[in-house]
Amino acid sequence: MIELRLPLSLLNAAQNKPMLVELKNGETFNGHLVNCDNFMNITLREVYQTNPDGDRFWKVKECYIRGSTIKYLRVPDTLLDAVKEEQNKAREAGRSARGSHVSGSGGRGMCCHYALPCMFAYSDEHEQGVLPSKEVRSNIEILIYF
Amino acid sequence: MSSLQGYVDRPVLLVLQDGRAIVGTMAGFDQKSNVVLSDSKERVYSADEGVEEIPLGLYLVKGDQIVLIGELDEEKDRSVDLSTIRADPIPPIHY
Repeated sequence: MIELRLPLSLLNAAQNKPMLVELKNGETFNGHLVNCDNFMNITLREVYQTNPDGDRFWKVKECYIRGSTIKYLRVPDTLLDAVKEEQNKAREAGRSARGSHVSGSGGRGMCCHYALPCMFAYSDEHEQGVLPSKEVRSNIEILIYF
Repeated sequence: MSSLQGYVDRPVLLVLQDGRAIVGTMAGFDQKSNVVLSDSKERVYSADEGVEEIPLGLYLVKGDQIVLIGELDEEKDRSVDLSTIRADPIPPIHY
């Protein structure tokens, strides 16, 4: 499932890297990526902008491009390996973190500590002082038992 | 749910709304059909010259620009001599 996040993680990894952006109207922007967000809104610095015909161009110090106007981005080839490696590392880190949590001590006992105050809070909320339903009560007994 | 997952790491042809045809390896995609192509090339068709292939490298194409994604049969594709192909380019979509 790593691939699902790839387009935006690729863009994130492209910070401070050179890129070419073409807009839907054909204008192109060559510059270094300063920042981006999940809408693919981006800011570029040291930009060369060309018109759709490619016969006129401008130098712009910094510009902001709304993500929805973008047709495509061209990024350095080396970024793909960097991103894949990063995602693998993140996955490994996530796996080992979860692993240590599960193997931690007192799984059942912890459940008791957290669950009971929650049950009573539930019964207090009912104005007429209704006890927790039978089902909930039997759960409480089980929790206390453990 | 329809998904692009089956295309990942496979050679694909992308047709964009501006009529461009891009071939490359699908490196990834997301919920909005944004697509990352590695080793991508644009194929420029023309009526009186062979197909010109322009190397583009690593490309991120926005999903809303994509008209078509199809898997390429690499063997068949290799067997085609692009310099002998004559075809009008696909006209862009106008709104």
